[in-house]
Amino acid sequence: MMANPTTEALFLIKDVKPGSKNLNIVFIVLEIGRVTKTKDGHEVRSCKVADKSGSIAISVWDELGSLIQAGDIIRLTRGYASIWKGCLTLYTGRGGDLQKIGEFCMVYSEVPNFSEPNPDLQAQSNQQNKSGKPDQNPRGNSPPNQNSGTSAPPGNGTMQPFVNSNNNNNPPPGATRDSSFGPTGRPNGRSPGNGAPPPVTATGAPAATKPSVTISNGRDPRRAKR
Amino acid sequence: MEPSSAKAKPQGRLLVSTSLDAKDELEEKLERCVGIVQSLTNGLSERESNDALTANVCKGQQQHEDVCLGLFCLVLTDPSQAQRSYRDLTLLSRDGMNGVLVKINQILMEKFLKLQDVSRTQLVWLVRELVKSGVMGADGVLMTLMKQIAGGDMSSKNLWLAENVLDVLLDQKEWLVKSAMLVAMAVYTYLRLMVDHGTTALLVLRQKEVDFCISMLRERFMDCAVIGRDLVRLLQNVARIPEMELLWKDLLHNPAALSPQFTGLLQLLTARTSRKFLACRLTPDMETKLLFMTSRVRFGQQKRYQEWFQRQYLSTAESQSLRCDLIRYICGVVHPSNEVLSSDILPRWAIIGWLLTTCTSNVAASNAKLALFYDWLFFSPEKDSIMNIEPAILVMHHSMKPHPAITATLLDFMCRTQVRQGVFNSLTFIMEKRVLA
Repeated sequence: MMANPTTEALFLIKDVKPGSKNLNIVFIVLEIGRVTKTKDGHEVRSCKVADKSGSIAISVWDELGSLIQAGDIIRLTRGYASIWKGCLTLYTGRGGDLQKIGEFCMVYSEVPNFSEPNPDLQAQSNQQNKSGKPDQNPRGNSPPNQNSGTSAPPGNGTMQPFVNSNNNNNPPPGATRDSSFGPTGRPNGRSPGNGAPPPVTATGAPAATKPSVTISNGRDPRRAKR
Repeated sequence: MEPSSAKAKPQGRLLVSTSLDAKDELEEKLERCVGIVQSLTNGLSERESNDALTANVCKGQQQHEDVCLGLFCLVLTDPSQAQRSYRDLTLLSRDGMNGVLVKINQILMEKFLKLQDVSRTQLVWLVRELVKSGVMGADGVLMTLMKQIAGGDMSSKNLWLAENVLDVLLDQKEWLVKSAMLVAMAVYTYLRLMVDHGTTALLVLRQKEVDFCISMLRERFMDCAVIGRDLVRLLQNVARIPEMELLWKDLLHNPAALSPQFTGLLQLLTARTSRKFLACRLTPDMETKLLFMTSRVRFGQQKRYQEWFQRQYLSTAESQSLRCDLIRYICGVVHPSNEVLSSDILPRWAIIGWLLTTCTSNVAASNAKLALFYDWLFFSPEKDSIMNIEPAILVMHHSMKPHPAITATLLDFMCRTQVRQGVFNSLTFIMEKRVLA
């Protein structure tokens, strides 16, 4: 194995835990979520990505998010993982990057989906936030729940996004992405100025939900009887 | 730190890239070589530059390579100096330009889709110059360039390429006919492409293609005959074009008019078409993706790959003609090892089933079926391979329960063709080889 800084400690998705840092992962993009705009004008997309060990959600900001396409093989460097609305999510960290290194030719497993909502993870994350973990990332690259003091007004960093037990906020199977926003149009438990979007349905909902992007080719392969 | 972009990356001059793309090593290397050439010749007169470059080239293999690749890259990226850069390259090269040809091949096979417009234009210009200079290996480069013309693709870039490569062939006819293989490949390519060019907007291009193919078929028939039975398939697809109709009359009733060695249609139909031809109508990217699917993707896991492939190559009405090329490729070129066959890797019949069931028109569907069964029609165990006919029987077999309609139309199709002997041979062979358990 080359002593290349970017290939050191190449992680598998299954090894990603909340609070993991300095993650170098190669994955293939399965689905791109819809764009959502943050209050400070940034665009965020939540994408479903996978490697041979499973799938996970990653949040990508702005230009990179608009360039990513399903089928892209991407190397994440210096990423980190955190809980967003009860779901384990990847982010690009400070000094980190997303680089497209190929497309199509990578085998993956969609299951297990490590971004499935997990109430234990949520509780764990509540604890972390209380302890006031230091900011890991510059503005725009971090989710608001990292005490990052992003574009949010001062004092926002202590806000707990999960205060409102987001378990109840998980979209039911087959629901549209918009459903995670309350009827007021503002997401529950999120403070004003907190711009990060909810995860796409495919990652936030139980595995039984069909992927949100489907082209039907009218043919379901029969499983080989071997 | 800027939230919106990754590390700012200067745009290279060879390839299109975004802030998402990783640096391209070939582009970096070539641009480094340009830097070397420029540093050697900066501010010098033309004569002094030549001396400086010559001196450097003599220093060793690495310096020779640096200068040649630098000049090559300048040809591609600086059109105003291209003539001069090319001339210098031909004078300075000590390996018959082999190092440059290798890089051209790499660009064609790996980077063609990402070339900037100027570079692509220049690359075609360069290939034409290589042909005119009689550089050894230019025919191979031209064949690789032809391979980049995508079937079923109506984009202006692709049409431009089709037309410009054809212009080189027309321009350099004397050189062309010295290579029987190139003649055959070119005829195979343009007989296939003219199917896509039947719209009014493209009539001029199509007429050029027709004239070219007819002239090659009538003047170098035996070179073309090497193609074998797929030549007949291609000619069938364009039989309505007046000049082709006339050719068919000779094929059927007056074969000697085409060549004294040509005994008739059967001679073509009983000759299996070489994989070279079946593969030449897939671009490298299509091949890479299909080969990946048939060698690494497990059965049951193919849905997304199919979606992505379909979205890229099969999403328009005009692109349906590509299915036949893909099916012929899978039947004739993809012959998995026994190890893969006995694993749970996506089998060929499943891919073909997908290609058949996603046809969006009846014409496309019937052409696709013919493509699938083509090797059955005149199957002869001594000359043909079981691997060419195996997918068809398995598509039918596996479709019987979930998609009885498929099996029915395929069987119907087979029986209507008046080629019972070939079909009989195929079935017999399949039974002997126990393709069906």
